[in-house]
Amino acid sequence: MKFKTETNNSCFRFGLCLALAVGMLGCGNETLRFHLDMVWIRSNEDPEVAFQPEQLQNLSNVLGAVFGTPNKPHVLQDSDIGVEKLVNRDLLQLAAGPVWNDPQGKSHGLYRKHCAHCHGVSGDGAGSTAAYLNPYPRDYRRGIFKFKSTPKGEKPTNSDLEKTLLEGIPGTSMPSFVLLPDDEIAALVDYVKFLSIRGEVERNLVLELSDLEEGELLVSDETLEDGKELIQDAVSFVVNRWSRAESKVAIPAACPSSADPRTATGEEMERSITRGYHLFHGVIANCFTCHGETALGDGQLDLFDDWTEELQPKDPERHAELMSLAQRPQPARNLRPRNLRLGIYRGGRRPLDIYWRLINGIDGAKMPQVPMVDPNDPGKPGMSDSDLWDLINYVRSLPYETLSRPAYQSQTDHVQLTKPL
Amino acid sequence: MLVPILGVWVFVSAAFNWWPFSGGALAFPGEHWLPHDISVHGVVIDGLYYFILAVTGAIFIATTVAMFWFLLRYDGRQNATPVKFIHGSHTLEVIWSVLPAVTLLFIAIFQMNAWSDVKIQRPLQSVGPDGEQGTLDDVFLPPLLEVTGRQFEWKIRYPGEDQEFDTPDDIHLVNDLHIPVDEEIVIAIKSDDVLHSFFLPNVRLKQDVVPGMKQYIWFEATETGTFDIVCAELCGWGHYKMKGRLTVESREDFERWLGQKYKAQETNQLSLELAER
Repeated sequence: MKFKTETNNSCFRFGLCLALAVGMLGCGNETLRFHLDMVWIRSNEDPEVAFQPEQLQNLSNVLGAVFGTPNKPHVLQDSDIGVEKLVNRDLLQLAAGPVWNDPQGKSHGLYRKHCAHCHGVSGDGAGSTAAYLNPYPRDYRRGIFKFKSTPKGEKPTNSDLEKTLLEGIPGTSMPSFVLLPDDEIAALVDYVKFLSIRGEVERNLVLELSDLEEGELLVSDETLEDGKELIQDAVSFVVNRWSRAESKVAIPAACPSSADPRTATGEEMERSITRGYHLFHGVIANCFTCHGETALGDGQLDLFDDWTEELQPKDPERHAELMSLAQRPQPARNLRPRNLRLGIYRGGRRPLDIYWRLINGIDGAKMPQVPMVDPNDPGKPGMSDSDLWDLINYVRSLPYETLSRPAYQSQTDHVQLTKPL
Repeated sequence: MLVPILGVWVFVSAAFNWWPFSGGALAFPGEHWLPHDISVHGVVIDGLYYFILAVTGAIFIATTVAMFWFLLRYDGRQNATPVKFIHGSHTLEVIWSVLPAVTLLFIAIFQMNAWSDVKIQRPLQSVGPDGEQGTLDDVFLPPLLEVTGRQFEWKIRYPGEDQEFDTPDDIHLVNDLHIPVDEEIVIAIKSDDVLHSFFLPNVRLKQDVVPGMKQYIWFEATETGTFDIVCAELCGWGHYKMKGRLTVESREDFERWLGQKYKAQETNQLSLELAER
């Protein structure tokens, strides 16, 4: 009798463990969902009337119906909206889901293999290693990308995202993935776009939600039929901006041969660099204000980037709450203008890359677009195309500038440079 | 019992390519011996490795066999006579101290040249005006490129046309290392952050990369193709992804590739960028 009880007990324990293990695996996979953007939700709810759990569940269901889950991402098939033109469904599936290799040796689950530990399964930039990195990994859900060929406010092109993957971002923890095959890079680019579109649609839906009455659901019908228009509007708003990215690429003006390091004589280059030096310290380009008199990146140090500003660093109480929701350790990091003497260029070191940084500004950071001369408004101060190339030459020469070069004299020297020297 | 039997079996079957190394369901994937060697000095390193493996393997098998012999010979069920204990044997102790000492000393002396060639005697460009090697005016062969370990990638820098580092024509790359074949080349290695180890398995070369130290490694590759670069020192959570690619190619291909990379780095027009792809 005693023997029997023991057997039963151990059987029971074994069964319990097995059930738990299966339960955890099974349920974990089936219900794996993209997280809601709690920072954005908390920031946009009326402090008096918080969103009801049913409302958030409803939002999560709507998003799940449109975008699927991290294991089975869904591409909305609607030719009017055109998500399927932006992201390829097969590539998306290659990047999504758990990591495994098929019998042919092809890698699947690329996003979780290479990206998720920093950028998070939902693309929220809060993966398990994120808290140890400086700068923090990018949160794609705002739809803002820094290094791109398109102006501030526009989306990056495929080749911009590809370039970031292939070259990495020097000076940050983003490594280069240059050894991955082309189709894997393309799959990851599409998946990042997918996560970004999903995140931005979620943000727009949260705004819609905050306009509703207390406790009212975003889409009340289970089949989402009555919310069809709302969803279509929210998705196509984001998708349109991604679709037009290619047409927004800034095409650089030709570089005069006297400012092109490959064709200019040594003397010409020196003159170009000197002109750039004065432009750097001039009031039109105004670089010195942030990058500092010596270009060490110490001009201003108390601003925050767009992602951090959303965590309201000026309001300590609110900030603490949002930081914990964003899974960021305190204190928030302020924005450091780049030290231009290190020779490390996050967005790439080619003259073309630096041209894009200047003419497009840097989205999400405080780097503005340089003011250019306007042919329709000759009175407005601005830079000419050749000024821009001079400035680029100066910036590129900074890591090699001799120590003996005296610092720019004083504030009174920051004059408006109108004529070439 | 099972462990020494399996140990001997693995050792012997690997040496003679018997099952499971020969094939079948439990076959080891790919090569189970050292990776393909493409270096000039590799044959010496491999020779030493196999020599030490043979010596230690022979001792391993001999000790295991002796152990089994004792187990069988002095089985309690077969032997009625009680065992005799001896308290030390001077002769035996001398033998098992002197034999290993001689073996180790032999290996230490035998490998001296290999170590010195690979790690100490940096190749010279010329012996200097005094015409004597090993003097202060020796001119070292300048590094062809510089590799900097960084969590978690290998930054690669070529000095460009002027053959000087820290000038505007330096060519900057990541994880993609090209070298000319059949030439002795020197690489300067550095670290940006923590300890890494620059490891070229096919070149039989491994060197710890120490922050704050600039070190030189040198080798000559004899075969063209692409090979792995890996990090052989646990350097942080992303250690496993610190992989690079070594491409060995002819001098002409190498020069052409380097020229293309320089041109790409100087791109200032969109059309040029598009043409590159």
